[in-house]
Amino acid sequence: MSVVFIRAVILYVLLIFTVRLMGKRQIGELQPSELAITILISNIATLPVENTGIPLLTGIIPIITLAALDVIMSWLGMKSRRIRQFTCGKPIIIINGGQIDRKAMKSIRFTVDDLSASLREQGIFDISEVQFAVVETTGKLSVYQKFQNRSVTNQDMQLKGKDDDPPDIVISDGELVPAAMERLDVTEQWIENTLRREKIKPEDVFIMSVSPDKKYTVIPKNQRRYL
Amino acid sequence: MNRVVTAFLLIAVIIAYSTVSVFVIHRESAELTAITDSISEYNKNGDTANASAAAEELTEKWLSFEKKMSVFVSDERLGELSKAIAKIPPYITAANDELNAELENVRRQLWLVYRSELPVWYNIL
Repeated sequence: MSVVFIRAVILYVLLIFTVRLMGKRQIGELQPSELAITILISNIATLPVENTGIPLLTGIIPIITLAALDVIMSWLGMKSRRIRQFTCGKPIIIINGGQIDRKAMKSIRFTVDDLSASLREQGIFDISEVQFAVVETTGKLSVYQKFQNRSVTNQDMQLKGKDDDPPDIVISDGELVPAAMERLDVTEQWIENTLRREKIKPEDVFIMSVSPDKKYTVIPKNQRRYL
Repeated sequence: MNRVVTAFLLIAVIIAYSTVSVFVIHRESAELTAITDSISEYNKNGDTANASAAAEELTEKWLSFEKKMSVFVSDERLGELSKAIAKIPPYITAANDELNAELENVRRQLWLVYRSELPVWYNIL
């Protein structure tokens, strides 16, 4: 049993390394080839854990090979559009000028039900509101609505404002986050002074977020209130 | 870019490791095969003492070889070889007729272990 346990621990570490090597992607954003490789890797990883008779390397080598090839193919895809199209395919326009392209839908086996469901997911219940729609290589539908159905923007309303970055967390569970402090140009001294004014110690802070204009929100560990 | 370099490095390490493993298996199995040949020769000449000594050497070498091999080869295949090698010393002592057949079995299995690691089309497919 200890062999299985140790093998599982090794494969766990290897899988974390492999996933980190392959980079950050959400499941819904995976390219078809990446999804297939992820499933394949998870399947291969189970073999040496289940069967202690086969060498661990029989599992490790294909996992590392697949992950490395995935990274190399992604890199080559960045260099060449042709390779990118070969590995990822290309986006297919299924609604153009408000007209559904049935031939394009047929070519990717995208049914009317698929189209309706994808539109509903984006809050569009009337297909006549769509001016342009593309099925991305990840299988997601990107929609551009007709002029009268598009959301009003600040620019449309001629509202003036600054292009500020969002706030960031500078204290997480009582610990300072140096990367965020550097990005926001916030010093430890400033944080201490601010917290002193709020009569709270840094170690008692659950979350402290600061915006670029130095507005802040503090959530203490022991109570559910915002300061 | 670091990821790409790491990926290329890993592929290079795997290729190097695979190549080295083929050479290691070939060298070790050739050594064991040579010992089985000498056992056959001693047995043919009726030299039981030297045949027994060679069989002892074969067992010792096999024990060290088996550990290295378990990294590359499945336990099932190694188990078959272990059983075959274990039969050789008692066959020599008992002057068993099946000694030559068993030695041939060991040679054949060693060859199969080596062959299974070769990157040739019949193994790949």
